[in-house]
Parts: sequence; structure tokens; C-alpha cells
Amino acid sequence: MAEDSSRLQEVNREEAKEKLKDKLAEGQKLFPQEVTKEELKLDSTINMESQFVASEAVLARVCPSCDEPVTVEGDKCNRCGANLVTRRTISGISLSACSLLVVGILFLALASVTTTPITPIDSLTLDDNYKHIRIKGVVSSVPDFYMDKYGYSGTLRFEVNDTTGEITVRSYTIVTKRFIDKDTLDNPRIPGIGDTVDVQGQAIISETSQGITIKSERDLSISKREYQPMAISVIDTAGQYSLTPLTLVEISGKIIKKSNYTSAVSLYVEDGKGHSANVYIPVSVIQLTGVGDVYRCRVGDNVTARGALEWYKDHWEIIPQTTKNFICHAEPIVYNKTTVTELMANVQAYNGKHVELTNVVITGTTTYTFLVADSETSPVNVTVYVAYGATCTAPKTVGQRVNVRGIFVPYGNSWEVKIEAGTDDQVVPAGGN
Amino acid sequence: MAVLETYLIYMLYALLGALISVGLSFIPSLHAYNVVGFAVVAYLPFMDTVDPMIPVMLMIGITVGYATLSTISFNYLTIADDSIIFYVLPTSKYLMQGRAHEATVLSGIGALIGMAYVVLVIPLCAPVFVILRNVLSPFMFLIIGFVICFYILSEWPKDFGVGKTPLQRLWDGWSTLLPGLFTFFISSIFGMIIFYKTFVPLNAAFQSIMPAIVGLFAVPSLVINLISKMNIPKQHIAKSVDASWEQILRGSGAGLLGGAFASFVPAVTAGPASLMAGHFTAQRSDRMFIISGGACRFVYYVGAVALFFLPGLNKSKGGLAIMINLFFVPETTEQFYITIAAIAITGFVSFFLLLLVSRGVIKLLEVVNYKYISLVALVLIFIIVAAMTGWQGTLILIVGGLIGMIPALFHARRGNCLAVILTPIMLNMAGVGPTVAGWMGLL
Repeated sequence: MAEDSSRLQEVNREEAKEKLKDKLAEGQKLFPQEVTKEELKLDSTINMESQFVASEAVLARVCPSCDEPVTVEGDKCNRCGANLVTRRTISGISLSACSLLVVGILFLALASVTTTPITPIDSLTLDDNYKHIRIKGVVSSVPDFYMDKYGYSGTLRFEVNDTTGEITVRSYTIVTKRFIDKDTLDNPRIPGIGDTVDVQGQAIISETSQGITIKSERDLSISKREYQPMAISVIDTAGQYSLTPLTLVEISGKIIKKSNYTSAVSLYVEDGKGHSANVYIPVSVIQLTGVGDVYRCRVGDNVTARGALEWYKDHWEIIPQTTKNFICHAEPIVYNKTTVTELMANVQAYNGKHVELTNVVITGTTTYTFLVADSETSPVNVTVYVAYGATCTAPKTVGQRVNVRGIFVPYGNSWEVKIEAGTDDQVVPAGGN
Repeated sequence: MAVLETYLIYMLYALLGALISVGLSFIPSLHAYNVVGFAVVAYLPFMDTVDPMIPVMLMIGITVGYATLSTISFNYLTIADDSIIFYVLPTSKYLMQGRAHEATVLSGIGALIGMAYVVLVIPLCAPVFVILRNVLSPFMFLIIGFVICFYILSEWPKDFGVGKTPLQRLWDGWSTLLPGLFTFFISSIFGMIIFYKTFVPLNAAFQSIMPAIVGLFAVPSLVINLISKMNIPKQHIAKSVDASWEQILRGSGAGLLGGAFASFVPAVTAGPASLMAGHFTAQRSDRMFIISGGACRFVYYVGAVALFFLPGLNKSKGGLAIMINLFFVPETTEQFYITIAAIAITGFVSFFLLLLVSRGVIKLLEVVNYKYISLVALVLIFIIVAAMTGWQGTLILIVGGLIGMIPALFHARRGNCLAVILTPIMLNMAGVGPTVAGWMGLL
């Protein structure tokens, strides 16, 4: 059997040798591995990688590395020394590289489902300092806003309570600016008192304080605000323990009192039945969420206010999270275009109305007011009083031409055009100069 | 969906970075960190509006692409002179045999295995790295000191003293070692000056070491290219590479060891780490050396970034991590996974780019002499350094170039120039840096 097998191999080799000679005559370059088993008709027990078919075939090999003829026997190129048999194909290597693509996609999928676990505030220790943590709770204080010197952003700070403890959350200029720019009523980005928030950031833990610094605007999410309508009478008559603090409520009524303080705007809203509720809008909320209707609303206007309940001294007050939740139902102010001469000739007709004076000239100035007239030679003047914070971009110099928008009201024994803050009232240079 | 869109944007920027690195691969001795520095400067005005992960992805893409593709310029466009070509640089040997494409693929195999290490081993062994950092931190200066000692001592013996008289034989034996030691010494002084008294403009301070590194390593290589009389023979694009599985595993193993070491220990770069790993694993074969180099380089550059993003470690090692740290601090596991995904996907694309670019360079070299490419690269380097660091940086570049020419001309080990960062960092970590700087009159 062994003899038959070796004779068979000899026959096969002779056949293969003949075939190779034909190929060589045609000028083909051959490499042992390029000669298929079918062509050689080799027995399957023979190791193709270690056998050469014929001595003539050996002489016709080309090195796959340097592409030069191999003129000696053996499995190494005599020119470059490359192994002619033990080789790895580039296509095989390329195929194995595809596994990296799969791994990459798997890691992306993993990233999409990876979340930072929520940490109870009372479990934070000094070892957690500078770590990235996540907490979930209710904003328990009105946010503070410390504007930077450039006036377009600043530091936002608020407290969050998760029932195990309280922590101070801060965001600095760049992140705060992103919150301000992206804040809308449907997608709030500025947290307000009473909001349920999910916040992540770098923990700043010391022996005396705990805080989180938000590094990205994606690290803060605010739960949808659900306000429950509540009668003003309920709020007015409730005791300190009758209502739950930080409950989100909505009221409607008429403004009966409005006070502008340096830190807030306070309004009393009445239901028409003798009950009133205090709506307290901090200046920080106005700075963060915009002016809205806060300044344009007046005593007598109907308003709707949404906010969180907070007990203050001896009564409940409603603190809106955003000025967008304070809606004044009064008609927008319409300015009546007129001249100084006509205005002063019809003072009663214009009493309490908003007026607009175009291209009038400043004829005199005092510390808080200035006089305007239709022209330098006109004998009729009217006093213009610019309230604190009102828009006045025109230089207060005699001879300056200005456009004035304000409300015409009596003052003492005279009349004045009052420019109010937070409204469309303004004093600007006429013609833009 | 918003999350998927965000991830897709990240990956696209990473791939863009890989494409940018293709341009780098044609320019010998130009480092990815030179280009990445520009990306940082370009991003800073938009910090308020652009997601910081976007430039991070771009920079990672450039680095992954560079780590894979830098072998192109090294294999095709770094010409050793005829006296050392077969002694020192296996890739130069391959180039002269017309097998540079094969050498490139071998290096690419090493890079692929390096990619597998970075995307699979680092995430799985994260706690190990944290423990290692905590244990080794107090002893880092010692480790760097040992690296320096090994690097100097491993150059001996070199020449065997051929000469008629004992003095001639003594000189012959020391003719390359002395310049090497001198280079190490003077590079150390150079490094101390840069660390303690640099006069690079303040707005480019984050790139203060770049002119020195480029001058010490890139300029001499390009000058040697320009004065070399060698011609590159016709290159063959092989369909297979001469490598057994054993050689691939041993070579990449050594490369991974060296790269992991270099990505972890401050101041140690891929070169000395690869050398140490080669000694440690008793490497003898050119193929293993090339594969090892590819793996080591990839793990050094990209592994350092992965370790930077590793939660709990956040190790700031390597130029890229330091530059990212200027505007971004990674914090979450999600960011780490996104980084690993970017490395894997960009690495996959970079490997295929490597094969394509290698073919492209072969075609290019048939038309354009490598000396012209080297000249363009030299001019480009000067322009980049001048643009980034001003005339002050250019001056540092020239000084570095002159120092770097010493080992090049005297056939000493060019790695001695690494003393420019090894020595100052070792002294600083030992706590005596300011003292030594004071002795030198720098403080």
C-alpha cells in the first residue's frame, strides 16, 4: 500500500511537471502556492507549503516580496531573504481589520446606554471631591445670578434638595450663556424654585460645603412643569401648614398693587372677590429668562401667573420660575405720535396716554430731567423724566435731536413725559446720530 | 435620535481627522501635534458655541491616522546614509530591496494589534491602570532615571576599536559613543533652558517644547535626506507579507509592552520604550522589529489618549492629552466609550488608508525625487514653527537642529536627544528641578 501510494505520487509529480513545463513555455511566472491542487493533482496528504513540484518549477519562481526571480532552491529568496512559503495575505489582514469597525459600533451603542448613577446627597464624602456625580431633586431656592462684567452671562447658582440633603449647584459663564440662549417655555433650561431637576457635574466637596459644578448644558434636565390652577382665595386664607411649599400653581386676576424693588418686582393680584395673592418675581429670574410682561404690566391689568408656592413671613407668595409664566393680558402699548406744541395744548386729552415725540431738540437739562421742544426757537417745552433703568441712549446735551417715547403724566404743578424701565419707552438720538 | 445624531457627528469629525493625517503622512518628520496645535488655536474663539467633543474627536482622528500612517514617511522618505543603512534601520533595508510596501503593511499589522489593545484591553483593565498609577506615582522619577541609564548603557559596546595603535583603537571604540554622550548632556541643558527659561511667546506656551523636538529630530533627518547620495529603487506592491504568526505575535507583543510603558510613564516616548521592549523580549528579526515599531507607536500615541479619558485615571500624558486638557476635562464613562469607538472606527479606516497611501507614495516617488519632498518638508516645518511660535521658536528650532546633527553625523544614537524632555522631567519629579535650574542660573 505504501509502495502504491508513493508510485501514485511519482505519477502525479510527473504529470504536474509536464503541466508546469507548458506554463513555463508560455512565459508565466509561477509561485508554488499559485499552482492549484487540481492542476498538480497532488495527494492530499502531501503538505503543499513544504513541497515543490519539480526542479524546473523551482528555477522559475518569483519572489512575492521583491518581485525578482529566485534562482536557488529552498524557501527563501536569495536576493532579499524573504520567505516564499510562510506568508500572510494582505486581503486576509484587511478582513481581520473589519472587526475593529464592529467593536467601534458596539462601543457607540454602549455609550448611548451608559448613564452616571444617581448619588444621594447624604452619601457624598470628601473622597468624592472632583468626581463626576449625578443627583436628582427639587430646586429649593430662587436661583442666584451673578452677572459678569461683560453683561451677557455670569454665574448661576441654586440649591437642590433630594430629601436626603441639600447641595449647591453652579454653572459658570459659558454654560450659563447656553442655558439662557436655549431657554424656552416648552423646553426650559433655566431651573426655577420648585423644579425637579436631574443634574450632573463635578463635585466640589469640602469639610464645610458641598457643591456641583455643571460643565455642559447637557448635564442639566428639568422635568416638565405641571401647574395646578388654584383659587386666589385658597392661597390668601391658607395657613403656613395648609399648603405644601414648592407646589406649582397657576392663578389669574387683576393687579391691584405693583412695587419695583432693586431685588424683585412684587405684585398683588386680586380675584375680584376681595382676596389677593402676592406674586414675587426676583430680579435674577428677570435677568435669566427675560423681561417678558413684568415691567409693562400696570395696576388694573389682568394677569395670569404660574409659579411655586413659598411661605414668606405671614403669607404665601407665588414665585415664577420664568417670566414667560407671567402673562399680562393688557393690550400692547400704542404710542400716539404728536408734537410738543400739540401735547402741551391738549394736556388733559393726553393725560395718562403714551406719546411719541419725533425729532425734538433738547433745550435744557437738570440732574434728572431735560426739556425738549419742537425746535430751538419754539417757546413750548415739555419735561422728560428718565426713570432708573429706562432706555436712554441719547446724550443729554442742549441742541441734541432726539426721539422720545413715554407716558404723559402730571407732576406737581406741571406735566412730564415719563420714560419707564422695562417697557418700550425710550429716548434715542433722532435719525440714529 | 438626538444622541445618535450627536455620535454620528463625532465620528465624522474623527474620520475627517484621519483624512487630514493622510496629508501629514507625505511630509517626512512633520508631527501630528504640530497640526493639532493649530486645531486648538482655531477652536479657542468658538469655545462658547461649539461642543468641545467635536475638536477632541478631530484631534483624536488626526492622532490615530498619524499613528498608523506615519510609517509611510518613515519607510519611504527617511533615507539613512550607506554606512548605517543595514545596521540600524530595517525599514531602510526593505526600501532598498524594493519592499517598502511590505514594510508598511508589517507596520500596519503592528498598528492593528495596537488598536485591538487600546480598544479592548484598556477598557477591560481600567481598574488595573488606576492601581498602577496610585502605586507607581511616587517612584516615577526613579523609573525615568532607570530609563535614562538603560538608554545610555545599551549603546555599549558599539565599535570594536580598529586601529594600529592602542590610542587609535581607543578612539575608534569611543568615536560614536562620545558624541552620543555629549548629545545627551547638551540636550539635557537645552531641555532645562526650555523648561525654565523659555522665550517662546506666552500665547504659544502650550507648544513651547515643539520647536525643540522638531529641531532635534525632524531637521537632521531631512538634512541627511538632502545630502544623501542614495537613490530609491523601484518598489514592488506585494500581495502578501513575509511574516509567520509567531513573528507577528512576538513582534506585536514587544510593541504593546513598549507602547503601554511609554503611554504610562511621563517623558518616555515610543523610541526608548520600543528599544527596551525589544531587549526585554530578545527581538532579533527585522520583521518583528517593524511590527513592534508599528504597535509601539500606535499604543504610545493613542493609548495615552485612551488613558486620558479613562474614568478614575484621567492621566494627562502625551502632547495630545495635554492639548485637549487646555479646554476640556473628560469626566464620564460615556465620553470614554465614545473615544474608544472613535479610535476603533478611525483605526479601521486608517489601515485601509495606509494601503492606499503606500501605493500612492510609490507612484509619487517614481515621478518626484525624494530630495524635493524633503526640501518641501523642511520649508514647511520652518513655516509651521514660525507661525506657531514666532521667531523665538524658530531660533530654538535651529539650535535643536544643530544639536540633532551631532548624532546624525557621528553615527550615534539619535535617541540621546530625548534628554531634552527626559532630564528636566526626571529632575522635576524628583523635586530637585528648581535647585538644578538655580545652579544653572535659570532661576
